[in-house]
Amino acid sequence: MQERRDLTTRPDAELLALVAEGDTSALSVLYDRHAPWISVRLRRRCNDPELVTEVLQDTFVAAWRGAGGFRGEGEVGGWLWGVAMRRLVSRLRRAPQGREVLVADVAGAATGAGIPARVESSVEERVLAGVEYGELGVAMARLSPEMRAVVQATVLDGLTTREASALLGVPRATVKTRLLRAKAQLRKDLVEGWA
Amino acid sequence: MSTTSAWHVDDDALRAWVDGTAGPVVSISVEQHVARCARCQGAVATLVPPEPLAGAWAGTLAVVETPHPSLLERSLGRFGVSTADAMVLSAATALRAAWLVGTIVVLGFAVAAPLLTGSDGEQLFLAVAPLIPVAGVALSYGPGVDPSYEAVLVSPYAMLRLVLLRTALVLSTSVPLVVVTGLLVPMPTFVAVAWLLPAAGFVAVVLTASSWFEPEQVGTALALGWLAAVAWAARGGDPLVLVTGPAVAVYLTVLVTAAVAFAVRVSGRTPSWRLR
Repeated sequence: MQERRDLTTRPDAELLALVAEGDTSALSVLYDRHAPWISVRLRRRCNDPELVTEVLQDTFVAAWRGAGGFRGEGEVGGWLWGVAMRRLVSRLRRAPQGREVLVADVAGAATGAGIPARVESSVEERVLAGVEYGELGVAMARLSPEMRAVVQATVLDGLTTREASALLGVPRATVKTRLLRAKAQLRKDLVEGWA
Repeated sequence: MSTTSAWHVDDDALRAWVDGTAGPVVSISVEQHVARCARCQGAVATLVPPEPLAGAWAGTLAVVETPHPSLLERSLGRFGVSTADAMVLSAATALRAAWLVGTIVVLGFAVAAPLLTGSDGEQLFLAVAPLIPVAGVALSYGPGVDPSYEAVLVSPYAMLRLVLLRTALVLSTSVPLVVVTGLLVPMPTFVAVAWLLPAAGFVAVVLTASSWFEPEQVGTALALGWLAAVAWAARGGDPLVLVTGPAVAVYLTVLVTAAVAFAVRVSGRTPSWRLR
C-alpha cells in the first residue's frame, strides 16, 4: 500500500520504465492518469462505446507489452495516444462489415493545421489556447467536415494515409486528395487573413 | 510529470469536451493540451463516469496477468487449433524441448554408430524407430507424467479428445523425424518406412490398453517385447525378417484388432473407454 502511494507521485516516464519491468501497479497508476482522457478522445472518433472500451483495454495491454519501446522522447501521454489510435484502426479493420461504426465524429471533429507538431511546446500552447478565436480557428471552421476529419486523423492523430483510410472508411487516394485540398484551403485562408 | 504551464483548459470547456458538446475547434485545443497536462488529465478523470473505465481495467489486468502463450501454442492457433486445445496439447511431455533433444540424440546415435563401425544400420534403427512414437504417445498423458493430468480429469474437456489430439501431434512431430533419419542410415531404403506398420500397431495398443493399465506400463511392456524380438532376429542373422513376410501379417492383425477394440470401447451411448 505504501509503495502504491509512492507510485502516484512518480512521473509518467518512470512509471512506464517500471511497467517495462513487469510492474502491474505502475500500469494501474498510468491507467488512472491517462485512461479517462484517452477514453473521451476515442469516444469523439468512434460512436460505439463498447468498441471504445475494447480499444482502451487493447491500448493498455499493448502499452504493457511495448513499454520497453518507449524511448523517452516526448510525452508518455502522446505515446499512449498513438498506441490508442493504432488499436482503434486495427479494431475497425477487424470489425465485421455490417457493423456500423461511425468513425471520426465528422460533425465535431477538430483539426489543427500542421503547425503544432513542430512548434516549441510553449508557443504551441499559446497558439492553441487562442485557436478558437484566431485566424487558424476560423480557417479550420471553414473546412468541410470530411476534410477536417482527414486533417485530424493524419496531422493531429499522426496516422499514415493507409491507417486514416481504414479509420475513415474511404479509399487511400481520397484521403490524400482531401488532405491536399484541406492544406491548400487553410493556406489560402490564412494568407488572405494576414493580408 | 507533464508540462506545467500557466494556461489550463477552463472547467466549462473541459466539461463540454467530455460531454461531446464542444465545437470542433475548441476540441482540438483541449485535446492537444490534455494529452500533456497532468492537472487537466486529473480534471478529466473527475468528469468521466468510472463504470466503463473500471471494466476496461479489469479486462486489461486479466490479459496482462495471464501467462503469454508459448510459441507452440501460438503456432497451433495459427493452424486453427482453439486456445484451450493448444494449452492442453502443449502440456504433453513429448512436446517439451527435453523430449525432442532426447529423440534427436537417440536418432543421431542410430545414424552415427553404423557409419562409424562400417556395419549395416538396420538392426539399431529398427530397434529404436518404432519405439520413439510409441514412447511419445505413452508419455503424453496419464497420472505419472502429465502435469495437467489432474486438471484434465476435473475439466469438462473430453479425455478421449485430448488423448487423440496429443497422439496426433506426437505422431506428426516424431514420424517425419524418424523417417528422414532412416534415409541417412546405411540400409535398404524401404526400412526407413517399413517400421511404420509395427509402430502404428503399437500406438493402437497403447491407446486401447490405457483404459486398463497406465500408458507408461503398456509402453514399457511393448518396448521390452520389441527389443526382445529385435535381439532374436539379430541372432538369426537377418533383422529384416521383422519387417518382411509373415511379420507384416502379424502387425496388421495387431493393428486391426487394437483399432477395433478401441472403436468398440469408445463408441456407443456410454463409452467404456476412459483413462485409468
